[in-house]
Amino acid sequence: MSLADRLATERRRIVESWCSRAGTEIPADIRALGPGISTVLEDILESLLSRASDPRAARQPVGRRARGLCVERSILELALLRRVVFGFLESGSTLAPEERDVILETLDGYTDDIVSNATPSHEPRHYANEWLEMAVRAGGIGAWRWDPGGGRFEVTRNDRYNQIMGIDPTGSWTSDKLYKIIHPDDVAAVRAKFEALAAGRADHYEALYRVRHRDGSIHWIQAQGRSVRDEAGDVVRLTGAVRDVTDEMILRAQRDQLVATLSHDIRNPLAAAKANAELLRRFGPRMGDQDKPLETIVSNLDRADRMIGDLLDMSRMEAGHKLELHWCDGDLAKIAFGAVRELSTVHGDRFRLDVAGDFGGRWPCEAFQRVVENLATNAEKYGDPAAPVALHLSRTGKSVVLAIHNEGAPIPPELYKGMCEPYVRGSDTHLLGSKGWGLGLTVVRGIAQALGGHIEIESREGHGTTFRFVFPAG
Amino acid sequence: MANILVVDDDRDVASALAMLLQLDGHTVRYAEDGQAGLEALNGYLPEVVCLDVDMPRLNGPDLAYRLIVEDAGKELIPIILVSGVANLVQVAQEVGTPYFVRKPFSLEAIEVTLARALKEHCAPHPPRKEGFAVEPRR
Repeated sequence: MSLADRLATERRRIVESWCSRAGTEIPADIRALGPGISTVLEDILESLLSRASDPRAARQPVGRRARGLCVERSILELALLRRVVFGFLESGSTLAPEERDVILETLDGYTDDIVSNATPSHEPRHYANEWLEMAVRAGGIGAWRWDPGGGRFEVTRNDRYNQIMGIDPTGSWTSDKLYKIIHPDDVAAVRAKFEALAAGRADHYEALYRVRHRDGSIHWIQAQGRSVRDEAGDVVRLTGAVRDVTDEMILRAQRDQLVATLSHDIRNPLAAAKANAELLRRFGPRMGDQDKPLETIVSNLDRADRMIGDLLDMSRMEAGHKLELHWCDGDLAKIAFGAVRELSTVHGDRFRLDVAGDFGGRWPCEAFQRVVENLATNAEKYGDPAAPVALHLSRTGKSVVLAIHNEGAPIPPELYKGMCEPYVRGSDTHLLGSKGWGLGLTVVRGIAQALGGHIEIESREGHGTTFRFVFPAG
Repeated sequence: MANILVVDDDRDVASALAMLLQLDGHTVRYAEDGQAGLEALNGYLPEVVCLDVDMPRLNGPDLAYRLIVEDAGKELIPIILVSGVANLVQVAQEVGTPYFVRKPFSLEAIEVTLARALKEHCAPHPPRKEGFAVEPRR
């Protein structure tokens, strides 16, 4: 999808998110100084959209309409708008450098436009540095500056820079020290760009790299810099900014992983269905029993459909909606037996189900089937392959309890909390070689919440792992 | 006709693949993951291995690597990667096999690739890289 299409799609959510965050993230004393950019927000987004469609298009200045605006508030709000725009556009995919440039150029242009046209509440020269400092602080940005002198490439920087780079705030800081904390795979590219900037071969510098903090943790850094030249064209100063984008990179990696896993996993049921259909077409009666390939086709198309269903449900839950449950007359025991029978055709005879009590009644039948399938599939995937997966359906007081137990390595307790988050899959140490969309438990938790129930996890060395899906009966 | 080992953790895919190969006259054995595939190759020397990539316990590329490390002659068996991973071409390059078929596959794609592998007998030959000291025996 093009940048313009993505902007058009996300426009409403960008405005909503900006309005919501501006009310909480811009300090009240700044908001009290005067009006911000809300009156020109739609114009700014319209111009951004226009330039995203055609980067050669001119930015539409707000000009006179900025006259009543408060500079301090507007600068902070524009910094927030930039974060919101990048947050939405980079949450699902990576922006190309030229796309980033269009956004940055357009929004930065409005900063200049508003500063030069708006009505400052104080003397602008006196407060210019404060506004900048506020904007830098609001953006969580680390700033650095290099003024040549003494031949050493020594850098002055703000506190946020020290925090972002994980360095000693008291010591001197040079480019050589910077290269030492940058990941070996990234250092050559950063060095080349930085040296080109310092030597005047480039006016602008942009890099994404990893650094190791003093505590050993690895962080992703997005860095920008530019050179300032004198009248003779010589570089007299370098300035720049850094931002810790580790969380964004983790989210991006998780989404990339999801897309890769999704494309792989959904191809398995499609492959089985397609191959069986082709076999029937080509060989027909020579295959003997033709019911089996037909059943395989249907069950695999159902499997693909369920995977897409999980993905859609996860998306709904991420948007803050509860899962919709469809209630019908049914028997939970029969549903569980049916799910186990189907899983056995795919994974083999590994499942043992026992039922204590009568479970006829009105239930969210389809959702319960997905719970059985997701939890049993997880147990099969992550449990000891030589041991059976035990399912037990019972009542405890006014609750229905579905317990699913597998033998094998326990889940470390520190993983319990995040296990139901989307895209979380087993770590290499705990669940080596396992696979899946990482959505199964998220969906199960969503169903539990929609039912007013919960999930319990019990996992100990030598005792295996038990998941309990507990929900009120009736 | 050839002896073929099918290694895939998805039973439905594996049984469809095995059915095709058997109807084409080949003899097929099945292993449910890389580890089972490795064990199946003890005392069994198929002409071709049809190998999935992403599997529990031991994945496809690691199975190929283990065969090279063992250096017991099985590293010379041509490997056809049959997988839905997004970067299948890259995985095939890393394994060093010229044979790969993307899922969902057509029967014809399997047959054409198998015929090529049986004719050329091109064994996996991963590119030499730092930290990868083992070279397949030629």
